[in-house]
Amino acid sequence: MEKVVVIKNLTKIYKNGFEVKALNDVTLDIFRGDFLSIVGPSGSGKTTFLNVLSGLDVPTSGSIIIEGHDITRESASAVADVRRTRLGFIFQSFNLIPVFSALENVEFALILRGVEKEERLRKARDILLAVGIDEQMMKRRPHDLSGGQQQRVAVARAIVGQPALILADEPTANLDTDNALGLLDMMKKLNVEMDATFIFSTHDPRVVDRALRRITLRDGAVISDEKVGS
Amino acid sequence: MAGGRLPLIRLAWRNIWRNKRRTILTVGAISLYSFLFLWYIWLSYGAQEGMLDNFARILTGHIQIHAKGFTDDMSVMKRISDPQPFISAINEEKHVIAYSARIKTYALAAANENSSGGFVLAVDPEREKTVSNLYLALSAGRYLSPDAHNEIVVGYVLAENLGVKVGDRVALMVQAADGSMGARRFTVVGLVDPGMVELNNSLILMHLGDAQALLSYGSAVNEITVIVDDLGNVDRVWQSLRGKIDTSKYEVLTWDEVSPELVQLNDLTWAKFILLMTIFALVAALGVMNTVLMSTMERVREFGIMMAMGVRPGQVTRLILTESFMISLLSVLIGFGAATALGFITQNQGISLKVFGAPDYLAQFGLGNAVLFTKVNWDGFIISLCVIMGMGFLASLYPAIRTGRLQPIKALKFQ
Repeated sequence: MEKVVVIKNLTKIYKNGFEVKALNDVTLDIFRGDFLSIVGPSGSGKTTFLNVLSGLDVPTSGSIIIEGHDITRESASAVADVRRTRLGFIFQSFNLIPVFSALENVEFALILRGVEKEERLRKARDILLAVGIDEQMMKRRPHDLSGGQQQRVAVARAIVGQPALILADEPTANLDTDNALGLLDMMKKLNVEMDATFIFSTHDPRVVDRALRRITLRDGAVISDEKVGS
Repeated sequence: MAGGRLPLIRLAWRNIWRNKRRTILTVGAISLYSFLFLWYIWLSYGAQEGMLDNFARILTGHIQIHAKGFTDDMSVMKRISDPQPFISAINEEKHVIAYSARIKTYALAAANENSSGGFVLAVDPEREKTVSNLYLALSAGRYLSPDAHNEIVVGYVLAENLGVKVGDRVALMVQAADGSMGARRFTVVGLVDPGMVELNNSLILMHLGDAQALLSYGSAVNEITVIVDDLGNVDRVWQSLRGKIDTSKYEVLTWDEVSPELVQLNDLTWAKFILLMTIFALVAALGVMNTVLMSTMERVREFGIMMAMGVRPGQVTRLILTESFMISLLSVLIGFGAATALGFITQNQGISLKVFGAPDYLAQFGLGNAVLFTKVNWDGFIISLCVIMGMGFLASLYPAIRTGRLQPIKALKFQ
């Protein structure tokens, strides 16, 4: 299987008067098509892992190689380029750009990738329709959409550029059960149809149950990495 | 991996209208500043030209020709014995609209039991009217007759000091060109108030023929004053005349060489303008910086999202600078529009400063009529545009760079 991410000896230590080892010598590979959940109790390092993996936070030591780019050794601009071209994000609180409509939020991800206007409008529409956002909803700004609709737009934005890796931090935390299950079905479908690689940090058993691979963290260290479905 | 360009214009435009009230207040304040800046700079140009023109039209003209060294000591020995070749050369200049041959000297004036120093300006009365507005400044009596009749017109303060009025006689004593003392009695036919303190105190205007007789000058003069159609053409005419005149024996001077104090006054006026506008600019800049800082602080988390999506730090900085540019541009459009409208009105109709009780003060600066006109020009427009847009740019630079340097993770966690 093709390795999308190679992580070696990743350690993150926070120093706030006293030292906290948020990640402790994590080494693992992530493969194309993985549908992977990161689980563990609060404070186990799930969010830190996603932040460091995405280059939003800087590790204390170790390396992260995403499709050949070692983001721990590159400049802030170069890491931004990696995020733009190879990563997609789904945040817990949706985090859409409030002055843009749903369509423009998705289009924005393609603008950053330099996609031509006609193509990006077509792609943005197609992906929004695929996640259940119709033409009327596409024109609305985030504050005129429900939480579930906003999260669907956020998913569409994350995947529209067909990134190598989609990172989702507690994606169902702010959704009711129906919306949460709908979102999971949609992501699973994208995982299968587009061979998209998903990594979730989650507490939500509904997410854990759908994952194909589960990594458990405790005190910043990987205590298990198991295949849980097919 | 350069990626696509951020939709800066669209994003910035929508961002600035998120908080309409704040944007309107900021645009209003900068518009007012833009309006004041541009209109005031045009007023300063107009006041400068008015002042220089007033001075030129009262005494100095735009260009003066003398025997070499005359300006240093105004010695009666330094004269132009035959003014005709100079006049011919002046007549060849297409930008010259008027000239006048004159004699200038100092005299001791005495009447009753009073005496006072006087500044004699001897002219051909009719020709002088084409270069000088002194004949319009009569406060009593009449102007000089076309022919020499031992008549004088004097500054009204000098008349008061001598205790004379129209019709009285004044004795003048001068040093003549032959070394003797010339003395003669003249009849005061008029009093002038040219709006310049020095002239009010000392001016004695007389016929050129009378002065030539008094000074034993023959047909000589000691100054030829030239008026040019536009201040911008003074240097051109000056260069041309210098090419035709023997500058080893004669001096050809422009108004600023003749009256360096006028240049200093002009410089002082501009210095005051720059000081005032710098204070205004600092206040306006603080306003812009405050608005941009507030606006960026509110959106730190959003910038974090954009960075997480791969927007580069430099692109975030450019976005904030674009927002500030738009606010400045909008303000400039409004402020400059209003300033241009008012500028054209005050260029045609002027502003009377008499309501501010300023004529006496202005008289010292050659603005005795106390009416100021704006001069609408591109120079003022471009200077104002650069200052205001530059101010907006500099004021937003700090918040823009600061935001561009945010760490994405900290920005995303910002509450």
